Amino acid sequence: MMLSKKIKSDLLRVVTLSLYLLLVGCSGMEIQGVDVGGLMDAADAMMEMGDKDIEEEIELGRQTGDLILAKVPLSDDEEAQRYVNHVGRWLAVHTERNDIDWYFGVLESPAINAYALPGGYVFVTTGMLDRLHNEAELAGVLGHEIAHIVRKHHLEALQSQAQMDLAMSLGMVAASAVDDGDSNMLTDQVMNDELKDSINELYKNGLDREDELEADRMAVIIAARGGYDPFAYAAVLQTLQTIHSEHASIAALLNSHPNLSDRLAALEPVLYREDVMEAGGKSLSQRFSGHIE
Amino acid sequence: MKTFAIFPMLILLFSMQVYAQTNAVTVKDTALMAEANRDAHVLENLSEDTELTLLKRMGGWYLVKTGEGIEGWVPMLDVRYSELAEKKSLSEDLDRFSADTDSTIATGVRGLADVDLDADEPAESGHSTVEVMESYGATEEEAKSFAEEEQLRSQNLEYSEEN
Repeated sequence: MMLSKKIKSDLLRVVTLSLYLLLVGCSGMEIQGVDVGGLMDAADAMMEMGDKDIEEEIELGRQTGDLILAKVPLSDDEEAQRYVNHVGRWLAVHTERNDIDWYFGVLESPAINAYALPGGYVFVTTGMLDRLHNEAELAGVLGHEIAHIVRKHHLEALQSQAQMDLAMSLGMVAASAVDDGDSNMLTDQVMNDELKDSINELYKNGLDREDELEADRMAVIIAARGGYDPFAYAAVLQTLQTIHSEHASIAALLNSHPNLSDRLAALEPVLYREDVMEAGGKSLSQRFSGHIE
Repeated sequence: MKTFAIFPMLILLFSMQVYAQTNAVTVKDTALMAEANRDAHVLENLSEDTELTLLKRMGGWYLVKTGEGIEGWVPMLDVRYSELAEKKSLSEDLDRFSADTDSTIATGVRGLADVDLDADEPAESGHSTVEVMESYGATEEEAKSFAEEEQLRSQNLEYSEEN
């Protein structure tokens, strides 16, 4: 039986808090000579991740961005970088998070993919841009990533994963401290390493299926709100269907998302809404090809 | 006067995606319609796995041609591009990837998401940072001017109909 994210999150809080209280209950801030102060700070930070204020969310996004950019460089096509930023910012104006600064980066990579980071940071690869035909399709792709940030999907997933990891660490530490008392791994570095691992795992394995399908539906609406053809995003997914599923360029995207047929089928209710069909919208293929080589 | 007569036609053309003989197949039983409209006259019933040629897309409809040469419209989600397009695409990619030493096919897939962010391997070309990324950012005002250049018009749509 699948537990809802809320229930899982609450459960993890209980487990984490229980271990936390167990440690505190043993002997205050020290267990057989081991200082647990750093660990408790880490526990506090983990448990509050979902309630991060905006500055903390942006900082998490920037740190995640640097992790990715240390491995995959930005494209040196400055015109493409500025163009994608204009399209993305125009879309973001039409969302519930127009209060933050949005930044969009084109990554020089043949992998067909796009990424959302907490705090308003979005990446799209040159491999993805190569597959698009017009600005409306780009708007759909960026709209999907913007939706993840509007809904804070990654922030919640990191919180959930980090709590799980921390609960395990706390369990090991508690057992170690009680059994032999020679553990000295209790520093803030625990949280930093756990967080880095969580980010790595999240971007490798992807979000929950329902988060992805929600971002797909929202992508259609966000593009349409900006005056773009709402059907262009479905056309992107159909284009991606033509690429062999084991091909190197798309394997990572498929590994971290629901299959494309399911995603297209899930779009049907929103695409054929009367107000969406009546919205019309532009494709802007000429402007797209004028900025994207 | 001629300019004003041509202008609406250009807009109509730009709102369509033209496909050069793209092959497709129906993913469900559907109908070939005389117009891009659910209330239009049905030209022919199409069973699942019917092969078609896509000519262009207009909104949520594809203009297609059947094997018998009949042209009509089908809902875009009722078809998918066929294997032929897939193989052509794959072939092109294989050519491109063969020159890329950082990519392998199938078993040794190495896409962005497979990069271990925790590994001590720097990017091979240059060093990008979030600061550089931020330097390309557009302000809200710049984005609005950009939209105005192409007369993009904001629409008031909810994420779901219940809202």
